[in-house]
Amino acid sequence: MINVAHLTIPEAIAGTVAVALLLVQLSLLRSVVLAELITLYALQSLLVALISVAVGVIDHSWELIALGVLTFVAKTIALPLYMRRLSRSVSTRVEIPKRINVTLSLILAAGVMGVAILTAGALPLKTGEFFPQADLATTLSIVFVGFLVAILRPNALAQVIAFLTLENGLYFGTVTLAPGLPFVVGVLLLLDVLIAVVVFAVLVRILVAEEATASVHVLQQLNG
Amino acid sequence: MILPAFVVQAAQILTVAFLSPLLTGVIARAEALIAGKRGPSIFQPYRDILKFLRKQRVVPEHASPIFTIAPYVACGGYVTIATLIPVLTTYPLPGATYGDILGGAFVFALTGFFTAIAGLDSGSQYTNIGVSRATMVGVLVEPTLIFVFFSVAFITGTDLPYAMNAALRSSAVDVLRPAHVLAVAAFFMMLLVDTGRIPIETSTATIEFGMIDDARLFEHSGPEMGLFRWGASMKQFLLYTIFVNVLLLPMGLSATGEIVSVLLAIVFLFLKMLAVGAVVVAIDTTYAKLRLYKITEFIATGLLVAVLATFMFVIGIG
Repeated sequence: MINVAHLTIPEAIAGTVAVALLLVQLSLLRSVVLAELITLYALQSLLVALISVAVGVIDHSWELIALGVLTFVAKTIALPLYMRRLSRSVSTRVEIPKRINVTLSLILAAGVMGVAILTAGALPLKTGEFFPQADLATTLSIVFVGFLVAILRPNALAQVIAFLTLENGLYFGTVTLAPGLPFVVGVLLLLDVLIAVVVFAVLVRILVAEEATASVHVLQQLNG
Repeated sequence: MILPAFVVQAAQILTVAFLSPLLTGVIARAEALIAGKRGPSIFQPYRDILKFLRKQRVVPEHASPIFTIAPYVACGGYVTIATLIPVLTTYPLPGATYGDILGGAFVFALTGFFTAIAGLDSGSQYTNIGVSRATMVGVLVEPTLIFVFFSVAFITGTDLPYAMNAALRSSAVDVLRPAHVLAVAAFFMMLLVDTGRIPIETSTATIEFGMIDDARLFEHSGPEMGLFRWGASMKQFLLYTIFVNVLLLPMGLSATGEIVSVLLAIVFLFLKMLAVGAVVVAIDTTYAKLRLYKITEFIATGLLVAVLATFMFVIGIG
């Protein structure tokens, strides 16, 4: 019988949010509709903002609360709205193409999540706030599955969203594993994302205007 | 007044048998209201069942007795499961330890098996399509449920439903352990599949292409049809009971067998179920039905979540 230690409330909050993040990341892999991907990204950002605020309240750290609010405004409201507008102008097809079928990609996801959990379980982690190894496992899983989404969806906007979820995962990791993150670094991370999206947006627009597609397949034919 | 244990056990069975159509009715009414219709009365399922029970039976010419026996076996199975799980009390009642949660799953499988062979026995192509689909879905759901129960058994250290309930009550916050949350999420997905809800099936449709569970019953009529309808309500009620009392919200059960506390437990149980029902209605009215071949993807996601739950716990990080 494995010995079960009882949870504390903050651990429970961190654990639940971690699981919710994982589930959202998995739905991201399951979904092949661009609008749905954007909604899922907004939901994931909301969860990340929540955990940031929760850790801030527990630690009495105002920076984290402020970051949480900023994250909410930027990544749950502003970015998804913008991406939605962009996606309407880019594509008329509802379903984006996928490279392999969903069931197979889910099995792949199970594999990479297994690697993430094994890795996190093997590390002698003591520094984290609540549930260090589960939090690290979540962070790694989100990053790995994010890469998987980017690989398996040959659509520029879907790949941008995959990239953004990577950042969400890393942000979750920094907040739960190293909550002493300086405010400036947090804001810089956020700005990074904003700039990335703007650059991508400009690129996508140019591509669509020039080549009338956001599909990576067609874009690859432009190679010399 | 403290009720004898066997009386409480009888009350459990009666609760499952006679409150389950009400739950079905409330959910159907809520869905109709959200869709902007007036909807049937919440007591409509009772009227339907009574009407069927009074009707004449028509049996296909070449059907064997199994065709007629099946609904009785199914209803008997559901009543048996009601004795195994904590519906009203926190302490085990007579007969409650005759089977663990896997035993209950076996009885569920038995009812499904009899429904399936009764459908095949009728010899109609339409019921055969329904049986083949239901079996395909069942084959995929079963391993997921087994993984869910394994991971919950790991966490609580037991596979008896009453003991699982006790383990969760002793430290309520453990319900939020990552592995447990994953297991609960997987069970909820399977709950949607097993009760024939969106995104798997349209529960309100009468006859349509994508039918799975109800397509098995096309050839049944009269009292047998009534029993199948009743059984479907009981199955939903039992799965909701396992979801709320064994996995999610172990509070609100009677600890003493005092008559007032048993009555309160019935009320609490129904309230908890309404809460679950509200979530189900929200999903039912906001999502579209999946195409048939996409159902496997939905169940595969559930299986993945359940496997992750077991994995997280066994590795020892959640």
